[in-house]
Amino acid sequence: MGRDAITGCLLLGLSLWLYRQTAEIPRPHFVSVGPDVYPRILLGLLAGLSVALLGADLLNRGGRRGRGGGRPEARIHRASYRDVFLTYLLFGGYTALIPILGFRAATVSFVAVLSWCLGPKTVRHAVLCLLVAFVFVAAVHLMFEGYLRLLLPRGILP
Amino acid sequence: MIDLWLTGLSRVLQPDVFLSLAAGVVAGLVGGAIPGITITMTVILVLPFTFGMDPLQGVATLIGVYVGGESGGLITATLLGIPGTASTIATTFDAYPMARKGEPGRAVWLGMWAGLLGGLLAGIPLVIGAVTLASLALKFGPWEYFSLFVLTLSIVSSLSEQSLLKGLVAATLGLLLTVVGSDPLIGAPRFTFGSEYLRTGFPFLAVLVGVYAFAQLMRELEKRHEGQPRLLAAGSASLAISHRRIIREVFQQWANLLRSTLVGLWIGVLPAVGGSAANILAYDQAKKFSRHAERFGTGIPDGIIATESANNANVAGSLITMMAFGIPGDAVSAVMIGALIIHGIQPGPLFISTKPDLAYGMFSAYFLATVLTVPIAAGLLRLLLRVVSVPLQFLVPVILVLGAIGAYAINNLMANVWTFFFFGMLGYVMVKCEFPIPPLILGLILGDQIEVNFIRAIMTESNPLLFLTRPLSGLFLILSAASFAWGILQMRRRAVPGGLPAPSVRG
Repeated sequence: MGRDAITGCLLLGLSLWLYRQTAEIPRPHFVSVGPDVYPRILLGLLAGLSVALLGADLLNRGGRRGRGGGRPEARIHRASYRDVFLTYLLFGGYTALIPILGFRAATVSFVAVLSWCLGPKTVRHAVLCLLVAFVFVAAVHLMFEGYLRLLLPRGILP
Repeated sequence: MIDLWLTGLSRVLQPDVFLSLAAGVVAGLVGGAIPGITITMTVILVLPFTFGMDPLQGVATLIGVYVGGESGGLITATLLGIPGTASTIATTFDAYPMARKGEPGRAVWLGMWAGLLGGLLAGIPLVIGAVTLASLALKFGPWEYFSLFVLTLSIVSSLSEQSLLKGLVAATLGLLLTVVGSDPLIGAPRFTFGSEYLRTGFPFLAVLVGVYAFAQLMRELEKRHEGQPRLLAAGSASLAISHRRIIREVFQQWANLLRSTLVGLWIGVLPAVGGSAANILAYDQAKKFSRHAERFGTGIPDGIIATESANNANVAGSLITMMAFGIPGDAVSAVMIGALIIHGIQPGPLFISTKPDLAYGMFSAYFLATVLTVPIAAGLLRLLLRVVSVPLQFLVPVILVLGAIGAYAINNLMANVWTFFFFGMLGYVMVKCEFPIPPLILGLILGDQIEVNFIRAIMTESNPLLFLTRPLSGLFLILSAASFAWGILQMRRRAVPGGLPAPSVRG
């Protein structure tokens, strides 16, 4: 099975599961068309499209195999995926840390660490990352809290 | 009408609005110039700064970003040879060769002046078109609205780069996201799973910023190991030119300018098609009508004038659809619709008649931003050449933090930042699985309206055939079917070896 077929299966499962959940939606007697009708139509449509995606992938794979070749994938450096993964990981950690450390401390840490991880591993770059992080957070703080009066999250730590 | 114009103009000329608009143009020029940072992303990043502003000031700032961004992309396209934004792809075809031939100043300013003239010319249909179409749309019933929104979704899905099927799946997912939370008619909770946060549904902007900006940024991270082209003689290139000579050169190609403006305007009116299609189509048309088609791509002014006038006209076209129907012309106007909603304004046919001061203020802001772009770009050109070389390792965390602030600031909830993060991952997975993002965004924007109009139509008259038998509604549905048929035809032609290239439908 190809990627599209797997996606089709997952979406079909999702649509069937959500369709079952529509039974939980309260349906008042005073309306002729209940709040469950429209989601059911959409879920039916998604299920149909998922089956079509699955079928199209299976048919295309047969055809491609017959022609003796698949679609050429773009060659992407392995380090690129590492960077993407690292960014998601650090951003998840940053989001979790904001309520604890507060916006300022969490953001300085996040900006400095991520920019250091994505750049060259030298002392000069590390200093530059810290500098960028402090200047950026100071500018954001002044702009949002000082000028726009938007209170940024505070942490629970003193 | 003149009174409304004067009121709108006087509001935009007030120091606070004027300065915000100019700051928006600067942000747009900078964002558009940095490769990998799209205009949509720039608008998203500027958006939280507008939360504390009054509606006109906020929207004027975003219009400034939108208009400035189109010209920002031109600078990178000319001097780096890579498009700063998707809407300057075809600009590189002639602007970069001209710059390499030792005329970078001429290449940049031909584009700037063509953009200014194209933008101003397109401003006239913007005002007339938006007002006329909005008054026409006031006569629509729920059947017509429903069918119009279906037509919009079908156009976007069938123009998807990847496949019609994936475009439809993405659009359906976008629609499904809008059913989470209380239903719009009686407030019954749907798919909330006991969560108080989900009762109000997913916050539109947090989803949009995640699915678009976060995912786009990750794509840029992927590409960075492929090597960055060097800036063309950034320190030494002479950008000094005679503006009078350049303006004369643009006017000498009045037919090209006019045709490309119309192409840009038309593409802009089509929902969610975006500037990249306008840019490429205008270039293609200029080449077809030219007596020296063989010289295209060697650095001639024709290609630059065509692409840049189409780009700026495309902005006006997008604003027409947004202001008349509340339908985004592209991803940037999708964000602007979100911004208007945050400011308590529902874009749609009633918008111009109920908020004329704001509507005419927006028209004035468009014209002013178009005019302001040229002197601001002239002042910032050298600075922009430095800004485009800011390394991605600094841009990524800064943009992510601004995105997080934008999501948080919607209603001061950390849960919005988690939503931003979750949809950032979903958007990336979708991009990797080759699902187009524009249909999802459009589904997200139109979802509530589609449901409300569908239910209203059924509750008013239970006969579903009315969707087909009412003339306008039927026409919209026939056009939807034609759009699907066209999409299938294009897919088949593309499947043939050596067939059509995929059309570019981006935000």
